[in-house]
Amino acid sequence: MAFADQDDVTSMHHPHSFVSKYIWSQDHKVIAIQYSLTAISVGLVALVLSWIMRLQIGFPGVFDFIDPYVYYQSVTMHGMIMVIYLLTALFLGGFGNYLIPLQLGARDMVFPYLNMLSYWFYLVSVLILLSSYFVPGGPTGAGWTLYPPQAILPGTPGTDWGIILMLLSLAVFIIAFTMGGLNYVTTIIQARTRGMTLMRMPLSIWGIFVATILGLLAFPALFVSAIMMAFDRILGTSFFMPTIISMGQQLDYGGGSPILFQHLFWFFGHPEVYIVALPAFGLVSEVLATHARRSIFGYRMMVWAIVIIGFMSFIVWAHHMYVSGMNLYLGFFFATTTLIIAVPTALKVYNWVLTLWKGNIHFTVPMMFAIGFIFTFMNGGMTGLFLGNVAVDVPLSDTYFVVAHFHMVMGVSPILVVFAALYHWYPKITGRMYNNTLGMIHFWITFIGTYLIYLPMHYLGFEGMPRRYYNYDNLDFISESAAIANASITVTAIFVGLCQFIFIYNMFVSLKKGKKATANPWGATTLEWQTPQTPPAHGNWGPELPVVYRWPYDFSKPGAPNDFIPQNSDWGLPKEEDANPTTGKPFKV
Amino acid sequence: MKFLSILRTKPWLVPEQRPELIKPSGIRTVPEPMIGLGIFLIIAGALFLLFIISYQYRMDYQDWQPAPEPWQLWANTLFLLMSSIAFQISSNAAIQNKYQRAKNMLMLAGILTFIFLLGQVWAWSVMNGTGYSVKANPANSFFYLITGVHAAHLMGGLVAWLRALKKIDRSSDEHGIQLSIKLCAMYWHFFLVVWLFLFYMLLVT
Repeated sequence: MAFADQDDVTSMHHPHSFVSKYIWSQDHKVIAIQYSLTAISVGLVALVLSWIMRLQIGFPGVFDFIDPYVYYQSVTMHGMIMVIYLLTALFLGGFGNYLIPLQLGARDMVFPYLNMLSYWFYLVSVLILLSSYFVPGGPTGAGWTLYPPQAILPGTPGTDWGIILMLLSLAVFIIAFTMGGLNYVTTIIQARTRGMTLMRMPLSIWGIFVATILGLLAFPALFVSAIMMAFDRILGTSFFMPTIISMGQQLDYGGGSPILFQHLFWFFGHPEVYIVALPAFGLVSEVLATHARRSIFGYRMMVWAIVIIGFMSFIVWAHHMYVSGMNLYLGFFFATTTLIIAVPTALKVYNWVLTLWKGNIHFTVPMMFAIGFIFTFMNGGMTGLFLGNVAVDVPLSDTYFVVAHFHMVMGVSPILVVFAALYHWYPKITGRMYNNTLGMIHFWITFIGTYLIYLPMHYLGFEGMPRRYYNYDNLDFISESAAIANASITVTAIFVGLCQFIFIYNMFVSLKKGKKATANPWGATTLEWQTPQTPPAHGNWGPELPVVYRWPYDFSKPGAPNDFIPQNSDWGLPKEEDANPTTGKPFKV
Repeated sequence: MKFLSILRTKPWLVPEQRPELIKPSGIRTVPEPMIGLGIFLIIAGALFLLFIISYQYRMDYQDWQPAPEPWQLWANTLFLLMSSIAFQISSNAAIQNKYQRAKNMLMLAGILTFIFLLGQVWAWSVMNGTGYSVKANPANSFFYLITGVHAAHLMGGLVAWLRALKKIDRSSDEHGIQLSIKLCAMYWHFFLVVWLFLFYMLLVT
């Protein structure tokens, strides 16, 4: 089929065999599903690792197979997998790949072959990471932050091979991400259909766009630190290694700076959390607006907030380093920027709440998860204010307060958005409806359960219970009741984790048994819901690309035939013949 | 500034100049592969900038001893400069449809790059031989690391060079050939500038 459209800049590929359609596919929808399935699978591995950690903390000494090595390896792999291989890959590789061409009215990404390569490089990076379980010494146990000098010195698990494989896996992931990121940015800049101006893009695209730019600029810092640490480990250089005695012997290192690693790592690490958060913000805006039948409150401010958060995320990184011994005035600077970045973030939260105000709220499963996001993100964000201030951070640093904070903002809120988005777009991707009852059960168990897990954890942090400790045997300042709290957190965590299989079951069984979905079951306005076929066929739009006449939030407009007006509808607008074709201006009557 | 004014539009209102009614003017915009390469070069620039910042950070310590500069580095600089020039001549020739000249220059550019890479390996082995190994002191470590990363990027570029050669031989798509060579030239100019900057840093510290 020939697609001969002047505005059609994407290069089309037309696969014919099963292998070229579903395996070596260059179609962004297939690649998105490949990314998502891989990310969720490896996320389930990380979930099991979290159970191992919790079993040790909640019931110390009961499980013999969890020795300190296993424990620290689980801590490290859980963290690295969840942050990078699940959240980053799912939001950008999964949702980014699926939604960008569809919501912009393009047929595919501008570099489909590169897109395909990016997925396979991602898969290779996952396999390299998991292969560290099968090498002598096992995976690295240095913590997801991989701080030198301990990361490459004996005493830390995985210093033989595990750390090398981890660094190699990160390097391959960064290459994959760069390939994907080039696609997303170039497609958004170049391949928007006629009428789709930047300010008519849905907020999900804005979130993914700015997050991709952040990633492209921040991942090099991780790449640099990974290469330098690999040199230190393999070639014996001393980029990060000070003069040091290990196991009674003076080592051949000297002159390096562990703090340099921390600066490089967190220069990546802080934008990384916004790379996870910004797409989540964008996706949740879509879900809230659609299921409340209201335009998002303050669209322009939301776009500005995303851009400002993106820019500012590069000047807050040392709030992860307050206890590294740095100059207090430097700490003060970073505390100031950290508190300033809270302003656009809070603005977004107010706008989400105001979107719901007087809205015609449909309490569908996606909407429940989206409202759950607002609650949990607010909690997590407020504890961030505590940690953002230097003086308050000093006693709370490296305690369970930090663990509770980052799980709320990274582990609970974005995951609630992932669920909201997967339920919301399920009918479009699969052409079927999920089981609503199972979805509601999944929501309530997850929402209440994650509060039961993380709320007590804040108090454990206040008590001073340190993180990354294998056991707490000789720590007198930790009260007896902490043991009860830990045990209850463990039991709840395992129960909530197992209940995620309700979601997995729902997703797979509804593929066959779910009710067939209409093209636009939620009455959404964005372009992906206006495709001629559901699920969208190869080429997405049929012979002609859509034309966009309006912004994506025309809900509940007075006088309109429906409570939503799709972006490609010209209802209420002057007719085309009445406009000058060069400038788009109406002819003077 | 244009971006800021874009962010100030009010998309819920019907604009006077309706963008969906503007017919495409046929003026050639920047081709997508050039945008993609431009963004990639910004990322590579960020990578080298971070290496240089780390280098500066380490240089501030009191025990800093500069690395030596074997004469091979000067020769290599010359070869890289010549290969950049060859790429540019090839690109200009392709645009003027002089494909035989373009192809010859393209081959020369690649060969000069190979000579550069071999020369870099020679320089490393000379340094290693005189005791300045990669772990001997931090200045050396940075030297090997940064020149190594630069060389790795050029090797990647040679893959693109091979594809451009294949296209000029087999393809009849004029725009495609011109674009491929132009992108190679862009890439090589960027890495020449990076090399000149690195070499300068090496010389003055």
